[in-house]
Amino acid sequence: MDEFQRQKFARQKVFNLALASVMAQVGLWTVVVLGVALWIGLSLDAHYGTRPLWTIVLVVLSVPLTIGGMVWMVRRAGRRLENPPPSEGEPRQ
Amino acid sequence: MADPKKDPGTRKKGNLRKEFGIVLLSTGVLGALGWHFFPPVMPHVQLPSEPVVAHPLSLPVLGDVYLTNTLVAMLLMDLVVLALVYAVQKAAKSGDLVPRGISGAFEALLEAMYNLTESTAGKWTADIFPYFATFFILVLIANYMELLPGVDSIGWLVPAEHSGHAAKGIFLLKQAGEYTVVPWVRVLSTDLNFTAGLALVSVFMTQVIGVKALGLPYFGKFFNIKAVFTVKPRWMGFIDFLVSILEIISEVAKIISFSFRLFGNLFAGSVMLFVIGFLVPIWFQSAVLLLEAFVGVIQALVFGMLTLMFMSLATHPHGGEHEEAHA
Repeated sequence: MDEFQRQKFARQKVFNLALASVMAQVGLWTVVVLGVALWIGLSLDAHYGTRPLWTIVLVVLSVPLTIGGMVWMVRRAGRRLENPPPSEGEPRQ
Repeated sequence: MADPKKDPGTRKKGNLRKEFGIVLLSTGVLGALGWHFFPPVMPHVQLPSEPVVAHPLSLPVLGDVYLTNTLVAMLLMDLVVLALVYAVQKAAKSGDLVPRGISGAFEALLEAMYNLTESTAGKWTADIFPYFATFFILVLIANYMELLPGVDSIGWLVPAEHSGHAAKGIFLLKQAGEYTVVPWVRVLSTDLNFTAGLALVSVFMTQVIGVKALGLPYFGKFFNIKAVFTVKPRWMGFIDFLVSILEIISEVAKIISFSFRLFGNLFAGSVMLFVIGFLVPIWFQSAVLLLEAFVGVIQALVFGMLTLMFMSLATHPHGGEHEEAHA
């Protein structure tokens, strides 16, 4: 295998690993935010006897947070994948 | 500004808005009446799937098998997939060069997915693409069952085993008591058997593609004893060997993360729909359903994309030295 192919493989591997980590983060983000919002809402309502106020407020707030967070995560990863720092983009010699 | 009397398009849009408003208003009134007469009850949240028949089915090889509500969902999903296959095959055989309707939508979807696979997997696209596309379409259809009315909500009324969540005094029941609903169809992705099954297939086929790409030296990444003797300095080789042991753990972790990510997202979504429907029966559940439509497609994409990434990574030589032998 020549040097050019070796570098191409290494770059592709780094890109695939980075993309896999982004997909894993995105996949977990929704369930964590929604689950935490629902749990806190139900706990607050049970504590203060205000059912369903806090649950609704927190679930409603968690929806833009879920979508906004996901967009932010993907855009940040996209920028980093387009312009990787030299240490990340270059293969080990 | 267009004159609605002259422009049929504007008139149609105005009529649609009016009809939409009437539908919205009437469903609101009906919902409010329904809420008054039949107040919602906190549903029974259960992790394992439930049988929908009293007696098990005796199958030739498998023996006694209970028809569970997620199994019903799987059969329905299979029917949907087969119907789609039939529709696309019919369109392809018709000789029409411009695909229309469902076949056009499928062509656009598969083209986008194929291009994505090609940019990631390179020359292994033809091997990896079928898995990516199959997982995406299967998981998407399974997830979108959550949006159908009646799924998770229509089923047998059975006496409740635990208190606190059961229906009391439903008007059709002759005997008073506490009841709970065992749905006939439950979202397939809320059954861990389905998600774990998909995860096992994904990880196993990743190994198959790895062996196909690199030959038996592929397994060297799991037990890289060679690195101890060949890599200089020696301690770096020893670290490479330890990293290769970690690869085994990472493969097992992939099965767990694949299954629990999909299962957790969809089960949490279903529970949220139950809870929101119990707290605010009208309107608000529709907003959560919109979010679930978003989550459904994201999770299908995540499952398919991760399979694609792991399969692509498996085709890369881990040291570079094996590639020459199999190029």
